Amino acid sequence: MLFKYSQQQLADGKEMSLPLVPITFRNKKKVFVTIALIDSGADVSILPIEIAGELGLKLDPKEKIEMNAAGGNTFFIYPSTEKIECIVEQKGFRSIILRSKVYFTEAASTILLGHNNFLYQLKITLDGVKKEIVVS
Amino acid sequence: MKFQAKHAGKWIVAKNEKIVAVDKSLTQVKKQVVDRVDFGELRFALVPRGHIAG
Repeated sequence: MLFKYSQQQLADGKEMSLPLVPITFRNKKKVFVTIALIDSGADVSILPIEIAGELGLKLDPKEKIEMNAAGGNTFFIYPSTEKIECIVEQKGFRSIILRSKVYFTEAASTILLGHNNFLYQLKITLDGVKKEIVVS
Repeated sequence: MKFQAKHAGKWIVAKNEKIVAVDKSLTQVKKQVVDRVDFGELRFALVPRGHIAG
């Protein structure tokens, strides 16, 4: 699958190209269709806590993890109590379906796809020159 | 998809790259679109507040 980078216009007038991929999170009959940032700096995938409600997921506060952000600040993430499906699809290709627990936080700035429950299971190439993402 | 500065920190809903709803809350933005006949073709996104590092 090949996806183009997305454009982000910033308040300071700058424009960034970001490696975002379309992804669907599914918990039984509940689905959330979104786009998420490929983040090789994230140990796990982290979603805004509102999405847990959309997917009907319960979180496990006993298994919370304290995360250290690049700027030195810390925040907590909470795993779902059950695994969900993370689906990457594109017309003309066989869908990639990963089953894993995902983590949620109240501090999310966007949806991050990190190593442990996503990137370790895929081959992803970021072509920063062409601004393209190849997922296989 | 193109994120606009005016949507920073907000939830957006898009259809074919075109933004059809915006709100600070996911619940509220969903309310704006849930009755659409094309709901299944919509994609939600949380626009980053600015530069990201992680």
